[in-house]
Amino acid sequence: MRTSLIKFFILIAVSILVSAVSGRAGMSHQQALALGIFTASICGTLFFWEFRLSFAFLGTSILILTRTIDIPHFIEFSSLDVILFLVGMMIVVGLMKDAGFFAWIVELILKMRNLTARKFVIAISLFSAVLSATTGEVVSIIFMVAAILEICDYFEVDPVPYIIVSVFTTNIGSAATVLGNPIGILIATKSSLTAEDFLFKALPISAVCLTATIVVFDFWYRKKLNEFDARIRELGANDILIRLISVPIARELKISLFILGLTVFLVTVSHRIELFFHLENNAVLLTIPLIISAFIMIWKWHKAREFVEKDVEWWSLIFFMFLFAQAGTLKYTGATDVFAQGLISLARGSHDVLLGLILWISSIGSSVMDNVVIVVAFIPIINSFHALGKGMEAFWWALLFGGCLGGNITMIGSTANIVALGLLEKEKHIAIKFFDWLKIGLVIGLVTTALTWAVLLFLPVFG
Amino acid sequence: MKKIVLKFGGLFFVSVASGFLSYACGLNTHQALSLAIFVASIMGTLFFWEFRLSFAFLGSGLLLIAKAIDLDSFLKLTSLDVILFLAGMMIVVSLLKDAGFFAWLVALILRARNLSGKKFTFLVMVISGLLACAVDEVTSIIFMVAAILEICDYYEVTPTPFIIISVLATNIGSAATVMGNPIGILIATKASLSFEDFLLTPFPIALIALLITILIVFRWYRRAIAEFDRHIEEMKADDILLKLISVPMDRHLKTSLSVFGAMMVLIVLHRRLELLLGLTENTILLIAPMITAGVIMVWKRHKAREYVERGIEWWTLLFFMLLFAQAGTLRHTGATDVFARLFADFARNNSGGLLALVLWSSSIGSSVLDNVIVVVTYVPIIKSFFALGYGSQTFWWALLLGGCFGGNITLIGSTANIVAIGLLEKEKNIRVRFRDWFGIGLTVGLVTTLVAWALLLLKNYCCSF
Repeated sequence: MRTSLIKFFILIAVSILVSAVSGRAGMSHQQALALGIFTASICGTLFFWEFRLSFAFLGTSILILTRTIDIPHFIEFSSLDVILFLVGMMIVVGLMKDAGFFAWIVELILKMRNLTARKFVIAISLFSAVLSATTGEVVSIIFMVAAILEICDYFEVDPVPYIIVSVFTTNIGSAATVLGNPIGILIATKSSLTAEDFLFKALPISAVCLTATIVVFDFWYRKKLNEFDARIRELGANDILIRLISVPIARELKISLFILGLTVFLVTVSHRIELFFHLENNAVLLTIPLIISAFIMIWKWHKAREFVEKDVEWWSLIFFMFLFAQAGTLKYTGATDVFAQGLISLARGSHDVLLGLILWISSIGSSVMDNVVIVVAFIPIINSFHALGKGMEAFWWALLFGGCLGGNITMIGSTANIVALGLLEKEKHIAIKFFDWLKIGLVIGLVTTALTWAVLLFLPVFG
Repeated sequence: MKKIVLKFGGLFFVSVASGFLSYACGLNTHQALSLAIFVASIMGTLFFWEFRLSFAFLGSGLLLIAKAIDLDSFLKLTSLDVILFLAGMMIVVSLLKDAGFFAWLVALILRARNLSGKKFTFLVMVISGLLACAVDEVTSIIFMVAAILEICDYYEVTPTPFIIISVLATNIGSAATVMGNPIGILIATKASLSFEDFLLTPFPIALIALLITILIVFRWYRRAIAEFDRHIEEMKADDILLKLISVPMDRHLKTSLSVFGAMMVLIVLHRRLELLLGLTENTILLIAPMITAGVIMVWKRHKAREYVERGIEWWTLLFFMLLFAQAGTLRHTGATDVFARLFADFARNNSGGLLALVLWSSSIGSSVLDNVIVVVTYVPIIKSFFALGYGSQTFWWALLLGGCFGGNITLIGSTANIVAIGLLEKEKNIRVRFRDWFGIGLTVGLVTTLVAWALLLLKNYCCSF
């Protein structure tokens, strides 16, 4: 009780301080207020994770009551399109869970022939990355953890390194598509980037980071991997395990696989469809999950309600909605223009320095708070950079990758980390220490962010 | 299976036909398309109630892809403010449920002194009506049904008549305030009407309608009431029951009630506060539940997630959101202007005739369709009336009262009816037949709509002086 009181006072003090300082620094009354409330909301999510929705509700109410923003604008900024996209995708993922897709993936890993430790690491890394890129990081990590625990149990080895690498690659993979992470679709709608751009630009960067992660990991945990190899030699591969589990693919799973494939395909080519029919940007991208989930709810009509009520994470979505709207208010009052100006003068107007700033701030910021919060705060700032003219696209990629890769640095850096650690603790009673994670997390986080930086700086396609 | 295909074929045919027909009648492509999709959505809810969300998703997707509307306008038309108001209210109601407010209220009826058949009927109706207008009809009916079943069990009388009268009163009461029914807040935001406006017109009308309904019910169910009296005499006083159920007012409940009360104060005074703070109309009305919900989730932090995930009916809200947007698209494309013109011609440009048309068609429409659907269809049409110069606040009240009172006519007329009948069937295995309902439902539905009509005309008449 006492600590929460102290935390609460710190929060109030910080937000008042921020708005007072920004008021002094030349911001208008409304800008300072919007900034103060946004700061309180962000500190609220940091200090009082459980109360984040309350902070969002109350902060929003204050913004409206003080006439910092009116309801129609607030609603406009809540990015309902992104929310509806996520609702649709969550229904699709709900179907995949229901049809046993993830159990089937787990089985594929378990049934691998001629298993060696390195092969295992590569396999789980690839699966984690691909799964998180197509179905979202949280669902993907839940099933990957289950698979890893099962295999490590069988060979009686320590699961911790493999869980960690799976989390790393999940976070890296989530940057590869618009489906992987809420920040992906958010950035796609706020910038002019299409799903195709993600395919040709984000995916390769992700692949580079993934390779680097596997290499670093293999070196870091070489002893553990050798131990694993020794165990495999002792136990003679996983033949028994293979025989134990052989579930045939059901018809339902096949249809579900087809639906997932179709969704990913349609999302990827959505921009082509938009161009072909002369539709506005993102009209098709955002409606595809809705249409697909409509068919799913017709097909599985007796489960439709369950998909909507259980599989859609309403708690997070409604929080996102308010967070988006609060950040939009910052833009609306013009507070972000002031920030953008500050960043530009800090970078002395140099595009490359600015790029580095965005990438590293978002990466380090995401290591301590939810990456959605960071990205939401940055989007209006980057939009204010329009004055600079050239090279906008690289800023968006920097934001996306900073937000995803920074999540690897600490054990609370992203939702996938928290979920995986929670499962590990629940199932195996293993608690990873903060600094154990930080050592490898920092190396991976820094290496991958640095690689992305180099790619964005030196490859002209990203200008 | 064959039936489904048939229904689906019918739906498809009717919507395509309405699209072509309206195209032939001079609507442009986008108007015709938005109309056809809206018709398909409405028919979808009629024929395939379970698929309604799918229909809403598909229809919205089609509208966007067919360029009948652009994404930004579509999102604006979802009335997210109304949705958030309802979501906030649902969180507040979850708290009240959790705190045992409804159980306490039920105990209050049970402990009424010198219970008689008439007194019981009167109490049930008044409490149902008030509860419906203070919380919302669905929550209110759930608890009223529980209370009625308990009392009828104790006195060994058939609960069916008392359940029916409670539903009748609930539907009538739900018209009285902004909170009673989703259509209340919808109309309030679209027409910029305040809580005070509600207190001045629909509240007294609902009250009078309720009193008249009580009289009708006394006559209609005189045998059931007489039997109830007989059973009371046999059992003597209800002292035993009295001792059995006495829910004390604990601190938790008191705090919850004061939170609820604070919200009510905000809502009742919203217009004054908005004027004082210089805010746009209905700002405070819309965010009052949000503020309250924010406070509740700080107070009950362990249950906050549960309130949001279980307490809020996301399935329904998502459906409403897309339905609002689809109906909004009709106005966006200008299809409703054409309809409004048609209506006005039909009523020979007579605003009294238009009023009757709106009131009776919304009342009869609500008897077979969800009243939200009827109201959502009408909102853009009435807005078009204003654009054509026939507008008057009375149309909004006609729509509200028609939508709520019409729900009494059939046993599927409103959500409250369906919930109550479902509970009765689940708990007591009693099936309410269509004809059990139809006689009293039709009488009450028609009489209350007539009362509303007469009072609205009277109000117009008085105001014209």
